[in-house]
Amino acid sequence: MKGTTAISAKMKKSMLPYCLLLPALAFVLVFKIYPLIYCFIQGFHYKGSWSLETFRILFSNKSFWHSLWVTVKMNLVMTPLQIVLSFLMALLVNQAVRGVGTFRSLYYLPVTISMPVAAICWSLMLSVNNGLANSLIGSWFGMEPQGFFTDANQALWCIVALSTWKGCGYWMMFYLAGLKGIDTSVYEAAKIDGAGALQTLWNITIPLVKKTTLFVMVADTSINILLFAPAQLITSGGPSDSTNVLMYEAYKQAFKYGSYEKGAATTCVLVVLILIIVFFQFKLTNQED
Amino acid sequence: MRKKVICMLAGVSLLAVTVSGCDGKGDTPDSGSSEGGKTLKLLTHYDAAFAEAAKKYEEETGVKVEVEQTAYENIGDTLEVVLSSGSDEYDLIMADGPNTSAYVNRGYLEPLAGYFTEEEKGEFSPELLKQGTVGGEFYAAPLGDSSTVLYYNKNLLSEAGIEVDWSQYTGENRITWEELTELAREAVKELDPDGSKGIYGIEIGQVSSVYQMNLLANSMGGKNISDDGSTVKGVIDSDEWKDAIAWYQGLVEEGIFSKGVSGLETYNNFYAGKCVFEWMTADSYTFCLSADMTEDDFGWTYQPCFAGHEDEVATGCGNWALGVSAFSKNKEEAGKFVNYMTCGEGNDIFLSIEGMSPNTAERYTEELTGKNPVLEIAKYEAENTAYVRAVTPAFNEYSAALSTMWEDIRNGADMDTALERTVEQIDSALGEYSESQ
Amino acid sequence: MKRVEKNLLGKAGIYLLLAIVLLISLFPIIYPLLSSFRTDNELFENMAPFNWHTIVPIHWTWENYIAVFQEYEFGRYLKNTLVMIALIIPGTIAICSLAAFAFSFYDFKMKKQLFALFLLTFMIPGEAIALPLYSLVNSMGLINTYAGLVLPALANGLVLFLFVQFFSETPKALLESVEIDGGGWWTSFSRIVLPLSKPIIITAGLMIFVNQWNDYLWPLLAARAREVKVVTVAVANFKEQNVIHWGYIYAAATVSAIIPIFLFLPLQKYFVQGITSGGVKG
Repeated sequence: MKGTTAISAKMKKSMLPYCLLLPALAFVLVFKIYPLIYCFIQGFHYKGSWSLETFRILFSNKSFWHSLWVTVKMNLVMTPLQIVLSFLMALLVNQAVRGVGTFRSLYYLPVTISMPVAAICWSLMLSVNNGLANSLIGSWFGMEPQGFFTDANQALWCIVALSTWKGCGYWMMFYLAGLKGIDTSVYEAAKIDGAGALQTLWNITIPLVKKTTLFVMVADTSINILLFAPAQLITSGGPSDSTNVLMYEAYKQAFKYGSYEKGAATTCVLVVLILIIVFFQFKLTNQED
Repeated sequence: MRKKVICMLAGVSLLAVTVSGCDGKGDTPDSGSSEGGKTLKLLTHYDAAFAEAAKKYEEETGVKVEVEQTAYENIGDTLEVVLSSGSDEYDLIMADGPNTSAYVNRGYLEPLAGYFTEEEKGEFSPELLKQGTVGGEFYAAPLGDSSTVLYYNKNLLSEAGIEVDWSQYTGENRITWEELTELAREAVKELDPDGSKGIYGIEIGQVSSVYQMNLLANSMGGKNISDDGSTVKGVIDSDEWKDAIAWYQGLVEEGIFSKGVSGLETYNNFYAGKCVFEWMTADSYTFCLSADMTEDDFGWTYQPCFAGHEDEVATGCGNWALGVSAFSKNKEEAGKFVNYMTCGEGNDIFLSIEGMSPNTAERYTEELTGKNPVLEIAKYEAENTAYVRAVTPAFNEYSAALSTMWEDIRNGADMDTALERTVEQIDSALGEYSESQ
Repeated sequence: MKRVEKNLLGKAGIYLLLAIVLLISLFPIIYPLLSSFRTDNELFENMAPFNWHTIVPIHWTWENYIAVFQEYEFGRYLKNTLVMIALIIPGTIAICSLAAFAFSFYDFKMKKQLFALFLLTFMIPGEAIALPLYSLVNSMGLINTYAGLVLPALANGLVLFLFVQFFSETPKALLESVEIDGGGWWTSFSRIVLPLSKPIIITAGLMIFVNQWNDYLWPLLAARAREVKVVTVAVANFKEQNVIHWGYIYAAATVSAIIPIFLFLPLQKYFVQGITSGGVKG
């Protein structure tokens, strides 16, 4: 865990730390943990009484497994993509060139836009008939207009593009911090040893930001597995259910079909999925030690 | 010991400061409180109309109605959260016609029998009454109606050198889809032969929605759901449906109907002169005007029928309805207000502000049609060809699955695969509701 | 420390890359910005074929902004949002920094478990707890109040994490000297730790600001009355049942994006510093 200091033996026994924690703990328990537990419990209810029936109905439903697959498919690509891109972006803005600070702030801007607004802008830009993208493609490259969000093969990846565009600036900042924490003497030593730029990158830089990578990986994974706003706002799960991620199903169950129990059960599955993946992520990075 | 006390005090006072500092209660309306008369609360996107009607109502009865506004797309979700927790936050519930059944199934609505006489109920258009009645009980009174109408862009037609005598078409003698398609082909050939201007033939206002697309199948004789409401197998995969689907898909491929234009942009395309015809609703007249079009720019006619199916033409109907929350503490007052808003003067106020089609035949007054001449057509259709959407508690699931299917068809999916998947999804949802019967 | 990769790319190459990434990052923001200065009809008419005017307006007009502020009372919703955030930021920082102080400088039973509990809140999807949370807040009578918006937001796992990381950098010698002088925890906290925490406070403040500024679902459910409605919910008003006012959406989006940007740009130096010294490093 983190490095801590016991200030004095007296303190160790006192109630002080608990008092300090109390406000935060109170808020967390009341406003986050309690509703979460309620949600979990609901997943194990069926029409008001304890039962596994809800889960049984869920698992016997073809669209559940399809949505699970869509979610996994999307995340297999999106999370690694975001990690790599934000790392590269951090490398870029870590260069000692004039004005790089401004570039850095500007790269963070997509993060400050709200998702509903970003979704509207992207959907209009990539619109089939009236969209900027197809206009460009047609006029400059002479290509056929693409379906983007209306093409079953492209829609999911358009969503990946949108989320990546929006999120990379955020993770870039964390990687930047990680990079700045590396001692330059390490690089100098590498140079003296005659290491090339790519070699240095692979053998020195990347291992040295491992902790950052782990953090970004875990945080990004949870966020991405739960991400459904673009699917909700732009494609409504289509076309042909190709963007119907599991969390969107959960949302629809709870908010549109009046079945909170089903929505809760689906959420349980998602949280378990996240925990499993995160567990493996920890295992993976520890093995490299 | 002293330290302990101090730190506890610190923690508690921090909490207290935070909470009191956040208390904006002085700023906000208290729910359910009243000074003298009662207060009813309502959530709606027609806040202008309701506010106006509420003012009048308060003058007459002393009952105050607080109108809270939210965007159209948020009402369903918000009400679901509020009602599923049994909250009495709203006394009056806006239910989009087809949702009535689901709300009743979940126990959200109070029967309205006590607040409407049989005579009053009888005056509502039959399809509207059907949409608000579940299990023989009347739960949601219609605020208004809707109707589907075909609009054409006069400028584009004259530019293409096409002349049509629109006055020849009546309710009994309509233009057919086949004739319309021909006109569209000719027009586009003249106006935009290489497709570079992005002008196309026919647009559908609420494209890929159950509200409009199902009408194509209905107009061929297809139904929306089995008679006992338990399945869609044999219904939406019937020959009539397949004919309609194939017809539509072929025309999308040809480019007469659009592809990839979302329901958000379809109206804009008509206003901007990107499509020659658009199949929209009766109140689209007012939107065209507010988009700076005049009656010199556009015209309208009865919705087309399919050749050979002239007497099976089905037009859209149904609109928002008002009900009383089962959790309301002021049910009596709420019920009376519902009556006021749907039968009484409140409805007149509502219609004059929102421009919706009326819910009874009598309300199609000269004044109303003077403001919106398209209502003449709407009146005819409401009496003769209106076709109600499926009445089922699983309407949301039904609508979501069918919507997806229509969109997939539009994008070129294989008809049989799409139908099979949709039937399976809908029947599975329907099955769950009948289990709980 | 910065590293110059002169041997790989050369300065020109770096600037080129920077510019390309900038274009990709900003274009989806510039496009709505420009579109907010034209009418809807003009926008749709010029979509195809692609030309300069597909992006740049022909007739520049303020009418979208005027409508948004006058007809739709956007100014009021901006004010509401700012008030809400102004209440959340100090509250969150106060309780999270206290809790972080406890985690960083004390040992106590269940420390690991409690810390893990806080971190867990990271992974809780807002949509999953929205319904029970609504019931809870409703039973407290806090729907449509600022309290209902602020209280659930105060427990922030990420902010706690940042503070703990930052505090772990504080030299123990400083704290020990306070003890020697006979001071208690409050002295350590207020005289030593807090003043040193300026970068992390700013960082946390900025993060909270951006998150709350863009928060959508909870304000939608809990704050519908005019007096408390926030910007993200208000933007949905421009999408009516049959017609979408694109120009209004773009105008609102532009205003809505500019405010955090103007906050972020001058403070970004602290932001990086905060993440660097308190952040997750090798």
